[in-house]
Amino acid sequence: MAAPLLTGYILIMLFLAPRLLRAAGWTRRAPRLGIGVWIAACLSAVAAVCLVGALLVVPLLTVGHAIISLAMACGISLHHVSRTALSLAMDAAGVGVLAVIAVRILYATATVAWPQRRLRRRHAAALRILGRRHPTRDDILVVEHPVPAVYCLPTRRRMVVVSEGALALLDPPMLDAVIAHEHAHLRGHHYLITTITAVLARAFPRLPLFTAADDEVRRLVEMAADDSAARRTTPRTVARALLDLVAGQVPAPALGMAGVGAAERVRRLLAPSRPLSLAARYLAAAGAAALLLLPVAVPTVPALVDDATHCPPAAIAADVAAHAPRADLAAWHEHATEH
Amino acid sequence: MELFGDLEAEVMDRMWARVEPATVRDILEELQQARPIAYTTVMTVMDRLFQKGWLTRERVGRGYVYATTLTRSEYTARQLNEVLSGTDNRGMALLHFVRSMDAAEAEALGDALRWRAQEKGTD
Repeated sequence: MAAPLLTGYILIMLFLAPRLLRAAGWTRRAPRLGIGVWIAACLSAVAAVCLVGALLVVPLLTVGHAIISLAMACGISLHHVSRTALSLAMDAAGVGVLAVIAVRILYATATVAWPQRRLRRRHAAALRILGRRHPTRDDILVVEHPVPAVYCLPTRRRMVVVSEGALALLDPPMLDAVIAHEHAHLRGHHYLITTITAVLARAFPRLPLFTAADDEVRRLVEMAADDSAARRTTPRTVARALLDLVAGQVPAPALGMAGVGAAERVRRLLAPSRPLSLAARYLAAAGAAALLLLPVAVPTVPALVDDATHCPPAAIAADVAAHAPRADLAAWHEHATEH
Repeated sequence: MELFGDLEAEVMDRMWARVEPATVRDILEELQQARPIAYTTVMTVMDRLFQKGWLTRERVGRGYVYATTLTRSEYTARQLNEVLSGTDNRGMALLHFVRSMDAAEAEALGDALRWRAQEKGTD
């Protein structure tokens, strides 16, 4: 019963959800919520596949009881099940599913997240020697290079790097906007977020959910940072900084680097749409929470129902008292058994 | 480790500022004009800079003579090339304020860029 439902859910999440979320206009009006929903969808899909793997090995109720025990910080007692050829085959399949997911995520972390981190740290170490302080702003590192470049580094000593080429193009308000944008990246842990989606996209290539999430989250973190910069300065200042830096770029078509939706960002800043209504925000946040809770709820809700129907309250109290023999609970237990 | 970070930058500043190679004592004397500093500290820092490839050295007598391998701007260009050539998902995967863009993106921004040029004229 649970397995076909979960399989359907996984298929919807992997193939239909990315289409719907991509088409949804609201993510651009509330980029931070959008990021939350995309991440929740990815984690939910991975958790649901893991759950299917676990269900092949142990029954639904056992998984549910295990989660409840974990939540209550009690020891997990997996029910013993009789071993048959079929159950062994299911065990192997379930362990296989879990192993494939673990191995792919580890592989992607080793090939994406670690090398990127190593390169960034090496670069930051070089910039500590090459970079110069700005005469008036102590929160940026200036590098002597004519090409306009502005970026941040999430290393232990967080850095916002601005090239001399970029400094030459920006007036003080625009520089404020650019720095506010980069600080929003650092404060919002955007490196961590984009690393998660990049790892998942690498771990499970060709699955629309993960490739779309990586792409969209990358756009949305820029929009979230733009919004933050626009609040500290003005939307027009951020747009002006974007356009001036873009106009000052040496075209580099050979490298095939498309800016992350620069045109869309400028349009969004110059013609802002209505902010999302409070109700819509709550709805989106609730949706993200539901996505995260669903894979956990599938096994735990039946287990809780099972507990409630098969175990009278006194028995549960006895169980709790046995695990945590506290005086008040014991007294309550005695009281309960008297009646 | 972090202790030497700023000192490394300072030593490299001195090395780049001078034309000819330098011994530890040369740099020590320059640094001591600003504040007291131990010979062994400067020696350690210059040895680390050699290990990291920032400096080359040649044995002369009992000590070493150090020289820079690249000029400051050559080093900076090398670092920035790595930054500018990386794509969104490979290399360092940096979060840039804005990257250079392809033709389609530039086309899409055409109106906005013209608006900006006009506005600049009236600033």
